[in-house]
Amino acid sequence: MENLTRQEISINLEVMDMLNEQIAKEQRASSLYLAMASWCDQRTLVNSASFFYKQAEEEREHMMKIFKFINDTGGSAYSPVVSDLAHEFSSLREVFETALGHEITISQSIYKIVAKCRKVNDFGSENFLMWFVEEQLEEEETLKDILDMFDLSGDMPLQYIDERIPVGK
Amino acid sequence: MDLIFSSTYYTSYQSTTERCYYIDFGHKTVKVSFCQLLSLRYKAKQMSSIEYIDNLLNKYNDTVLLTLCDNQHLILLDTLMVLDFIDFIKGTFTMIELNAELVS
Repeated sequence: MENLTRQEISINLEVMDMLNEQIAKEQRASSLYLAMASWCDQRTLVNSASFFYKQAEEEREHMMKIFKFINDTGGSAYSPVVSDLAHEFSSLREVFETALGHEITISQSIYKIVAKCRKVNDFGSENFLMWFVEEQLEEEETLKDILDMFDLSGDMPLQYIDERIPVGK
Repeated sequence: MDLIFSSTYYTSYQSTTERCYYIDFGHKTVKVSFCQLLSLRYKAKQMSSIEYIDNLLNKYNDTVLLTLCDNQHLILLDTLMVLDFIDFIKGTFTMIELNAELVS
């Protein structure tokens, strides 16, 4: 029997499933950062709010990149549903700690897909995901630097810390 | 047409000349593209969740309306048919993958 499927889809089906799960994770991250931006905005933490608005946009861009990749390679991308998001945080530090925890989860998820790509010889998807591997390292580093600044700032007022949050990244 | 997989209620075929697939639902045979087959795979995946099956077995709705090919077809499935449909889709894609391994 001729391999009709290979002519229709260029990526492995299990990898496609994992990428669809990744779409949901990226969208969830985007929504979570939006909730964080709102929390910061309500407390006039201008730079932190700006940081999370930008992060929310970036996560959505990641989601769209994967979404488009699946459809372009002949697969089916599915629009994700996001529910049960936390909108309350006890401190600005907790906001950034939650963000770092989320980025680490996203990175691990990307690594799992890369490992799967290697296992099933899906080199096209692996190559596509390399950009995400690099991006995740940068995202984690940015958040770790901010948390280091919290440690160095000791008991300084929140406004002092907020002024030092890198705007837009 | 080449037989791909057959379960208790359903059978799938590949038509290389027409570059499409056929699914025999018993009372009717439906022509599906690969994208539509992927869509059925997604539906079967959703149906195989514990919540979905629990809802099917323990709540009031023991039948499911399955829409196919951009709502061109409507199929009514009872609980046994749903469970068989999940196995059928899994079996169909397993055979497609096995075939891909054999011809590569």
